[in-house]
Amino acid sequence: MDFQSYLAAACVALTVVCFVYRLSRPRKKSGCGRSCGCGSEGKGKTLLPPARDPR
Amino acid sequence: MSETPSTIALVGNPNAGKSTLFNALTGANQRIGNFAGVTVDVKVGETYTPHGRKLQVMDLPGCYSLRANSPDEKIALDALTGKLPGTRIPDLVVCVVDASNLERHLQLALQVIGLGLPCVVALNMVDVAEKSGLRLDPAKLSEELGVPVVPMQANAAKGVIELKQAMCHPFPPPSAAPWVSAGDDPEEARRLFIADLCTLAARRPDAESRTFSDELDNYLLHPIYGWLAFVAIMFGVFWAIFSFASIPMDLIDGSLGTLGAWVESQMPDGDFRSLLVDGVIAGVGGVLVFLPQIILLFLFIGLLESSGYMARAAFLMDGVMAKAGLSGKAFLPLFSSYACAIPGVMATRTIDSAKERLVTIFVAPWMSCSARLPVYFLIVPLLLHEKEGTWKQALILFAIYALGTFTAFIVARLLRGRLGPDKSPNHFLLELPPYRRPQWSYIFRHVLERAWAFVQKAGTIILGLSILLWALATYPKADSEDPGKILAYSAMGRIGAFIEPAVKPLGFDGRTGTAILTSFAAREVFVSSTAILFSVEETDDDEETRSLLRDRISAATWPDGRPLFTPLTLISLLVFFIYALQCLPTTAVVAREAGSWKWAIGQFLFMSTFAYAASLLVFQLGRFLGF
Repeated sequence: MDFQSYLAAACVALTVVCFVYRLSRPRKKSGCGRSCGCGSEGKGKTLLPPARDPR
Repeated sequence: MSETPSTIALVGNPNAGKSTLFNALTGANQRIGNFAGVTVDVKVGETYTPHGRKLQVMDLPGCYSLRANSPDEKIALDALTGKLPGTRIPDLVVCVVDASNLERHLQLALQVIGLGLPCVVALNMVDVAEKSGLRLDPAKLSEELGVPVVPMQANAAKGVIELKQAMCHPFPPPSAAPWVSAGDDPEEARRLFIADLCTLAARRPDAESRTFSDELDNYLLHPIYGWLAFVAIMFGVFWAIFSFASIPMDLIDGSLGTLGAWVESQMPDGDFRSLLVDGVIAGVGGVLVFLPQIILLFLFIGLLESSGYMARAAFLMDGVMAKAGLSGKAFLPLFSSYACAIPGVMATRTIDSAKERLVTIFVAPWMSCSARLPVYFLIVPLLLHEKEGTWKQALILFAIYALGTFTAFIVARLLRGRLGPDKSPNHFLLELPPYRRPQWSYIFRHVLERAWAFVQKAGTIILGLSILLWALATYPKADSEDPGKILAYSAMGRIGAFIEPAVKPLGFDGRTGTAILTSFAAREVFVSSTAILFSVEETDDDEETRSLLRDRISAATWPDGRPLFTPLTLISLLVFFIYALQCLPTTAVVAREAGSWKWAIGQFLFMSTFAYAASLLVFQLGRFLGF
């Protein structure tokens, strides 16, 4: 194995660690999560009151 | 006398300008629009008095009265009475009223004053009122209501300092509502009081004049011209997205190609170079190239929301929605879902009927959201020859959106029938706000934020997944130089071989099946996966290697040499992406809003099965017909 193989494997390992950390940390309650292109809220934040059970 | 308040609640009718005032007070960038029902939850921000004292500001959903009918109105009422978890009774209520519609807006203001809470009336949109010839007397209003009245224009931040000064004044102890005497009907007493008050302090011109909005509505709400305009606007948006975005897209694509070629020229052949070129640049670049189209989509949505056209579209759609068992109120959440299903699902809080709300939540993810766009933009041009015009691409995109919407309406109709009628009738009342000039500063800020969120996603989740996908397509390594054998020996190749029997009836090979599987993490990852999976085959370093992803997909073949992506396969793929629910955050929000994980999981399973079945039907039927 050359240095490029070690470097590539290190990048992959680091990525796996990042994903595991991301999945294991407590999630913030948020309205959108911005994961699908939703905008940020700037200096404001959202209180998420439970909506009435629709049934 | 009470102290300077520390918690302030902004209350008012829908579309009175509460969120605009909230943004002006706190420097936040909350979503605003020229239609009722934009805010459906409580936003909290901070502002400072002229003396430097910190205040907490709550922006509440709009409501017409303190009798809560819909979930968003209940939230506003709970926040005012301190029953909302995480809040207490506000120290001061700022009643935001539209000065050009005082007769209606003062109804709520009087009810809030009647609660006995310290109150300031923010007389918003005085510019619109004065333009319509209304003669306002804020001093008289204040004298009659017994609370401070501040004239303002929140969208231009005019009157904000005066409002902050009014907040600092010591407030007198709350007095009983002077407009109600013992034995009076409170509603009738309020109505009479407001009529007298408006005669004194908000005199309308004697002659009724037709406004520009009235004239425009003659056409835009017309049963025939209105629909023609609606279809023309929607088609125009799709056409503009394809034609205007082509130049910046070519620039981004060319730059990424140059970057890839430069990295290849600077580094010796090896795994790290392959990771950078075939993993990172191909994966992230494949998604980033669609940024101009995403920007244009949000720009047009912002323009429609800001101008006041959205309420007209909801009015037009009411008849169609009724056929689907829904009302025009469901149109706005469904339209919001074209940008992102999450705010769309949350916007269903404005719907009074619980059953209609549940049905709207169920079908909202079938409105094609912006995350699907990179997939559509990748596949649609492949269906056409290069020389064919952008209007044909726009037509296909229009058909894709129409198919998702049409299917959603049919399923809504069926589901609504199963849930049965409401216990009490719900009526669709829609406020048609006057047309306004778009607030360009807000729209640009909003588009910039959404574009940045897209870039951030490409630089984090998609970058990470691209690296993992590259690793799966590279390891374990085969003792062969044949790219096909290398891929087949890799983990990705084995996953592909495993799932190929399940996706082959849909017209896809194992690589496409693997790319679809990865897109359940995020839809855009399909583009990155395709870029990585279909670049592994490239072995030469010449210019062809850096060619467009579409060219690589067009050239892909089955092992026997048949083209992999025929028009029928591409349509089958499009159908799968139109119907599949590949968004975990949406499922989480559906569970919260529907009050049940069972509902959310059921929705996910139903949509995934439906997508598979529809794709299977399209491919097999197409083959049977000889395509």
